[in-house]
Amino acid sequence: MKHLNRFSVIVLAALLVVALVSAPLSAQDEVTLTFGISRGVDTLDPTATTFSSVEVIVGHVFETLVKQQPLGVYHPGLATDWSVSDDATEYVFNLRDDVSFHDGTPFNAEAVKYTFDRIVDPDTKSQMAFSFIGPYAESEVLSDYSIAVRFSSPNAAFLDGVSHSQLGPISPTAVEALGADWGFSGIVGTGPFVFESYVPDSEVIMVKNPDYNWGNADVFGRSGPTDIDRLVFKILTDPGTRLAALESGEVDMIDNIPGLDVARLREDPSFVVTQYDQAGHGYSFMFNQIKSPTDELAVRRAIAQAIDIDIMQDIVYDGLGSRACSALTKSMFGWTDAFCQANPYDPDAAGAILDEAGWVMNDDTGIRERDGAPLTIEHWSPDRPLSAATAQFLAEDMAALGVDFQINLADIAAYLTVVRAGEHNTQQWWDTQTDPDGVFRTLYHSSNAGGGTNRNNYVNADMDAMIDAAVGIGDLDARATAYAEIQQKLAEEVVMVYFNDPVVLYASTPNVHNVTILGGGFVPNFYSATMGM
Amino acid sequence: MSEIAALDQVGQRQWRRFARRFLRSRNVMAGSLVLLAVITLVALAPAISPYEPTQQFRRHRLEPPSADFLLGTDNLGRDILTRILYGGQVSLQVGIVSVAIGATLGTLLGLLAGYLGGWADVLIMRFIDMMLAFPGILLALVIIAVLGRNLQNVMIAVGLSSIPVYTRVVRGSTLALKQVDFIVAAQALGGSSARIMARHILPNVLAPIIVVATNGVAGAIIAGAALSFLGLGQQPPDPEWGLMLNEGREFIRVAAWVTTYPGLAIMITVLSINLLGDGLRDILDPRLKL
Repeated sequence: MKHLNRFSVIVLAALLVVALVSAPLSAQDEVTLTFGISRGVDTLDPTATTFSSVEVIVGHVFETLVKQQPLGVYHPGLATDWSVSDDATEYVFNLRDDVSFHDGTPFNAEAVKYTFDRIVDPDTKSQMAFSFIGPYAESEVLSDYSIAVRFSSPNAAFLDGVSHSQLGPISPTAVEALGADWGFSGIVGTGPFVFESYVPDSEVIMVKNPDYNWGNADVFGRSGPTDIDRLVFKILTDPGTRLAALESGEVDMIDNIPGLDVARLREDPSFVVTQYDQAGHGYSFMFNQIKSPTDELAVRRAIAQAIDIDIMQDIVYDGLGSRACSALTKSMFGWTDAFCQANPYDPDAAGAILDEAGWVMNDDTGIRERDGAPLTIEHWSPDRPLSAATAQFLAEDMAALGVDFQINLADIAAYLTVVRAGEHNTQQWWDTQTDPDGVFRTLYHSSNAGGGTNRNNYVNADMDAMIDAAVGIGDLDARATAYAEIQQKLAEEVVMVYFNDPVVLYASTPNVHNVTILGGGFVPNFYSATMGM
Repeated sequence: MSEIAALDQVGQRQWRRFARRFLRSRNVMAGSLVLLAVITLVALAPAISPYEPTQQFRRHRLEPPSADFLLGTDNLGRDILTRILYGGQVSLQVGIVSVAIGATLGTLLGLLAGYLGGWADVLIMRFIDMMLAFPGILLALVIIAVLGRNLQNVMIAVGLSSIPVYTRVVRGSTLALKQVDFIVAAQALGGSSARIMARHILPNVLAPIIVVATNGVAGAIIAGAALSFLGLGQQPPDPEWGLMLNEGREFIRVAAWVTTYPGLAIMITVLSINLLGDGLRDILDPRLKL
C-alpha cells in the first residue's frame, strides 16, 4: 500500500466522488419496466415479421386503427369510427386528425394506404400481416383523414386483422429513410413508446412518447402519456434463465413460466402469477404434403392415431392447459368439441392402417418398409427445450409404430431454410390468433403454401373456397357452421395433429400493476402499467 | 546380431523402468484404475444397464433416485443411469476419435515442418499460427457450422481444432532430433526423408505425443459435451453427456439429479484421464530420464 502514491490516491478519490454524485443523477426516479420475453425477434418490422412475439413488442410503438378488447369487441384507436359494407368488401375508416409519428411525420390516410400497400408488395415478403389483411384489393384516400379499404372477396375478419399491430400504420418517411435498416436499427409509429434500440437476441429498448395523447380509456383505463419512462424487452428464450432473471430482480415480469415452477411461484408472496387461456391455435404437429411419405393420408392417419396425446399433457406440457381438439383453441369463436376424438389414440388401429397401405414391419430393423424403402419421417424443429421434448416424446410413439422418426434439431435459421423449402416431413407449430379466419388462412389456405406459413403445403381448392366463404359470412351461427365444416374436412384429411391448448402464464413482482393483456391473453401491453409497491 | 540383442535389452530396460514408475505413481494408478472402471462400465452398457436408453416410463417422470431407477428419471421418464452408460460410449468415442484425428494430422504436419524445414516449415507453421489465432471451441463451432450438425462432425471439428498443439510439440522435438548424430548418420547412409521420419524420428517424439494426446482425450470429451450442450452435437433422443446436461438444466430447480449425474460422469472421467496424463508426463519427461 505504501507504493500507492499521492497522485493515484487523488485520482481514486475523484473517481469515487464522481461515481457517488452521478449515480443518483442518472437514476433520477426514472420509471423503468423490464419484461423478459420468451420468444425472439426476426425483425421489428411489423409488416414483415413472422413471429407472434414481435406483436407484443412492436404493439407499443405502433398504434392500431382499432382496438380489440375483449375478443370480438372493437374500440376506436387511430380511427375514430368506421363503417363496413354489407358484403364486407369495403371498410371506411375516419381517422384522428391530431396524431403524428415519432419522427414528426403527420399521420393521415396516405400513411395508412402506404402501410397496407406495403403489406401486399411481394418484395416485403410479408407473412403474418399478409394473413391479417386477407384478400386486400386497394385503399382509396377519400380525404386527409378518411380512407376506404377494399377487398377482392368478403373479409369479415378485417376488424380483427386491423386490431393487430402488424397492421399498425408505419411512418412512410422513416421506412424510405431507413431502407434495409427499417425493422432493425429503427421503427417509427404513433404509439405510446418511441423505439430507442434493438440488440439482436438480447433486448429492445423504448422510451415514453411524451406527445402521446390518443390512448383509449375504454381499453386501457387511462389516456395521455404513459407512466413508464423506459420499457425494456429482454429476450430470454431459455426458461430457466428467464425465471432466474425474475427471481434475481433483473426483470420485473416474464411470460411463459416454466411449467414445473408454476406451483412454487404461486405460493411465493414475492411473485404474482396470472393465467389466461390462449386464443387462436395451440401446440400442434404439421405434415408436409409435398414430401413422401407424409403426402399419404394413411401415413398421416396412422401417425395421428399412434400419438398418446392424453399422457403428453403431463409429460410434455407439465399438466398445463388442456388437450387440443382442433386447429382452434377452446376460447375461440367457431370451436366445437365435435373433433376431439376425430383420430383417437389407438396404436393397434394405427398399425393396421399402415399394414393395409403396404407398409409392412421388418422385424429385423423394427422399421416398416414398402417396396424395400423404410418408413422414415424427417422431423425438423428449432432447438428449444419444449420442441426437443415434444420431438423425443413423438419418437418413442413412432418407434412403437415402426416408423423411423429422425429428429433434426437445428438453429432457427437452418430450421427455417429447410421447412420453408418443404424438405421436411413433419414440424411442430404454435400460433396465437384472435379470429378463426386467421388460424385457417395461416395454416390451410393455398396462398400461404410454398414457403409461407402453410408448411403443410396443403393445397386444396375446396378448402380455399371454404375459408374464403366463411370469412364473408355475417351471420354468426352460419359462420360457426362454416368453420365446423372446415374442421370436419381437416380432420378427415388428417392435415395436422393438435396436441395442447396452452395457457398463457405471466409472473411479475408485486411492484407491477395495471398491465393490460390484449389479444386474448397473449399480448401484454404496458402503456397502462404502473410501478410501485 | 549381438548389436540387436543389445538394443533389445535397452528396450526391455526402458520398458521395465516405465512399468516401475507407472506402478509407483499414485496419480497414474488412481487415474488409470478409475478410467478402466469407466471404460468397462460404458463398454458393458448393453449388458448391465437395466433399460433401453430411449425407453420412456411415462408414469415415472422426473422421479428421484430409487430402487427401480438408481439415478432417477428425466423429464420423459427415461432412466438416467442407462442414459449415462450409453451416453458414455458416445463421449468416450468423441474423445478418442477426435484425438486420433488431431494427433495423426498434427504429428504429420509437425514432422514435415520440423524435418523438411524451409518453405514447408514456413507454410505449415503459418497455417498453424492461423489456427491458433482462433480459440479451439470457436474453431470447432465454425467447422460444425460449415459441415452441419451431427456427432461425426463434432469429432472432426474437435479433432481438427486440436491439430496445432500436436504440430508444435512434434516440430520442436523434431528440430532438436535433426541435429543428433544418429539422424545425421542415417542421412549420410542415404536414408530417404520419409524413412528417416517414420523409423527414426517418430519413435523418438512419441513420448510427448502420448502425454499431449492423453490430456487431449479429456479436453475432447469436454469439448464434445460442450458442443452437444450447445445443441451442435448428438441429435436426441440418443443420449450424450453434454446433451443430458442441456436437457436437464430446465429442471435443475425441481429435479437436480437430471443434470447432477451426467455432470459427475463427465467430471470423474475427465479427472481420471487428467491424472493419468499428468502422471505419464512425469514418467516420460526426458529430463527426468537419466
